[in-house]
Amino acid sequence: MSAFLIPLEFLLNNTSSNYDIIKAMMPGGSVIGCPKISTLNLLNYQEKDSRNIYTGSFGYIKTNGDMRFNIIIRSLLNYKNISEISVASGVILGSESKKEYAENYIKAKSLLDIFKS
Amino acid sequence: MIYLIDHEDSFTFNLAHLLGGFDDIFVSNYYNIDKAKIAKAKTVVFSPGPGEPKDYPATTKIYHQFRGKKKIIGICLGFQHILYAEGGKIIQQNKIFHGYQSIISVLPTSKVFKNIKQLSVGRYHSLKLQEPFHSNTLNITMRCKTTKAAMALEDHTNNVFGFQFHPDSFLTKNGKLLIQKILSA
Repeated sequence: MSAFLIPLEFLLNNTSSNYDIIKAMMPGGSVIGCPKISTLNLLNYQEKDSRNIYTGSFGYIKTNGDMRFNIIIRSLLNYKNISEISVASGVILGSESKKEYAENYIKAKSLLDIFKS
Repeated sequence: MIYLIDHEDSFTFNLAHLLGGFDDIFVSNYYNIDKAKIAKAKTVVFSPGPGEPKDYPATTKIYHQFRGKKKIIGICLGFQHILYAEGGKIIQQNKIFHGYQSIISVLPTSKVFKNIKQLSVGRYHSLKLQEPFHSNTLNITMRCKTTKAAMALEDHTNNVFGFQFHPDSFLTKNGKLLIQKILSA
């Protein structure tokens, strides 16, 4: 498996705040598909469970305005002694359902391994 | 000034960025069209978007209001919208193209892209124009090399242009040049 990092550079207009940037970018297109508003409506109808923090974002804003945020995947949520792992597949027209389903086990493996003694 | 109507698409601002390289650009949501501003615009652009043209009646109204009075450009859904407003039928295509690059042919009917024979373009659409389609002023000027689906239109009488593919996509080679050519046509 390989990943591509594509650096993006852009100029902000003077009125954009950190909040505006986060609001414009979230939720990430890679975890909901596009066109965003239309796919969000479809997903809200289709997904029975809440995603909780999964595919949300975690990060920090420094006092000078610099910020760094991720998309939460491959993460473990511990709450009241219960650990929660979420994995999912992005499905496109060419996807094969069985293969996509099987891939979820690969995605969850490293987190599940923590619980093996 | 270019007025871009956003049919709530994730590509709209890529398109706005591309158009903004040539003229002042104003983007508004489909549900929030600024009537005073659009009346002042030199060019009106219909963005891509989910669904089909009949889901956006306000865009059809704007098309009929400004056809022949301003330059009108439609991209993807916007392209289908122009054809729909001209009496064309928009139907499901057998092979659906979402995020595919394909080769399209430029037809002799094109006045804007006379010196180009074919293009590599990025496509994101489930629907297409049902043909035969007849218009006295509007010509289909590009077609998919394999499926023959309509890929571009030019109406030099009414100053209307459109692409079914996405010139704003990284899958389209020289997308900026394609936009520049129809803006200056």
